[in-house]
Amino acid sequence: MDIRSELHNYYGTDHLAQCYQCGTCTGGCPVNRYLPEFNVRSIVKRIMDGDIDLSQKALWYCTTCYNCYERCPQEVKPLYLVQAATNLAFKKNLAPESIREMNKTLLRCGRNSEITSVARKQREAFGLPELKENVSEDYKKIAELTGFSKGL
Amino acid sequence: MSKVLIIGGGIAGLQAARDLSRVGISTILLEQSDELGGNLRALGSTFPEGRWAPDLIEERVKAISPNHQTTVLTETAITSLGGEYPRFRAMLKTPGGNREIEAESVIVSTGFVPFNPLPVKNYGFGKWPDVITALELAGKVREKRIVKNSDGKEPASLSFIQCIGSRDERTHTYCSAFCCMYAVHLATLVREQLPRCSITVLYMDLRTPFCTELTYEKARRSGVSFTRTKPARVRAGRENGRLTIQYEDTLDGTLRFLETEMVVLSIGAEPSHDTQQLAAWLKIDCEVSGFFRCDREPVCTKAQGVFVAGAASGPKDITTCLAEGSAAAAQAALLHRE
Repeated sequence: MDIRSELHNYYGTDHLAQCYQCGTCTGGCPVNRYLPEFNVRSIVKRIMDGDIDLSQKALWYCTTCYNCYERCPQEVKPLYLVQAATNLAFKKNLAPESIREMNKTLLRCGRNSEITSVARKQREAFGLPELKENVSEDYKKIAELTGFSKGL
Repeated sequence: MSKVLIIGGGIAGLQAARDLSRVGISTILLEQSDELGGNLRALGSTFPEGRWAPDLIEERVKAISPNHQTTVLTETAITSLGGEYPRFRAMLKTPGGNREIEAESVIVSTGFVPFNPLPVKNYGFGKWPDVITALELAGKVREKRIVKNSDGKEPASLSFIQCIGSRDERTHTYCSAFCCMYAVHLATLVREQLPRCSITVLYMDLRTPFCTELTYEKARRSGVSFTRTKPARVRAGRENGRLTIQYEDTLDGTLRFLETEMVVLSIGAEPSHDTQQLAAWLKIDCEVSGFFRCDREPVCTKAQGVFVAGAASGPKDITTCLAEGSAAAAQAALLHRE
């Protein structure tokens, strides 16, 4: 199966052909401004051409600010295509180590970062309730059914 | 009974009226506003050959004025229209009162309305005085007074942004066809009047067919820069109010910030507001775009004796509007002879 059809399972790619590569997405991207290797327009182009490199780290730099989604004159929804690509990368075990580490933490303590002793003390000082590391059974089940835990 | 009713006194309607009067067929030419000429009235030098718009209008107005075959009614609105070939009836509201007329056939030459860019928020139109439409620039060029609205001074830099209200799912999906051509033409005119102004055209695809390619080349040779992009936004500096265009140069994939003193939006065309009403009255169809549909033959519609000429059936350059005005006149004349 080619990569376009695979991505189609995550997000419809029918409107991909509407993209005329105008660059409105990249021009307004807050990430591209500091990390030029994350270029939404060229990710869309690579998906159009069916030769996107799913192992590239840059795919994961999107902040989901929705600027590209709002401004795209062709309603290509570039943000969703980037998300489809990260989903597929994860499924194919191509996600970078840092992402997998974060997800392990998520399954272990229900948060994407550990509760540090500093955080505990600060919360206590502010009179906030203590944070508990707990993962609900439902969450574990969802992770199992969606293949989330398998990809780690 | 007049033989042909021409609705709209823009360049296509004028051309049709002139040609019909030449072959001795009587016409009634209706115009909503108080003057003939339509959208051309806002223009000076036109592409591709730099013909002067007021001359184009005047030549045709002169050709029909002394002619008893043509009745020109300005400031006139149609309140109802019906019938079919060979007898159409219209109720008119004129400054002199209501009037009923009849005609054997109808030429619709209602033209287009320039796109109003107010709904496009990210380029600051309506917010900053030096973000203007190409139509406004054309007026400044005609008066030979290209100055900024903010301070009345000549701009040291000027940038065109193409495809405003064209090729956009949120406004109009069609290409307005003439914007690239008028933009390169205007760029060369600005270059002539302001030799030191730095001029940039920000385009997605530059569409300059046939001889307008030469104007594009002339613009490049005169130092106008062309950058392939659709800008993300235009910002104004908090203190100095300076305009900055933020965009990706899509040919090398770099993010750019272009400071410019004047931003010119190359606006497209949309159907005239009475298009749907006229289509219903005349029992003809419209395209998805909202413009009139021509069936089978150019300028012909699905209703016998109803012809459409010029930008009423889609955005067109002046040369094509003139050709269609003549074509509609010929079709009406042929039908009359049968």
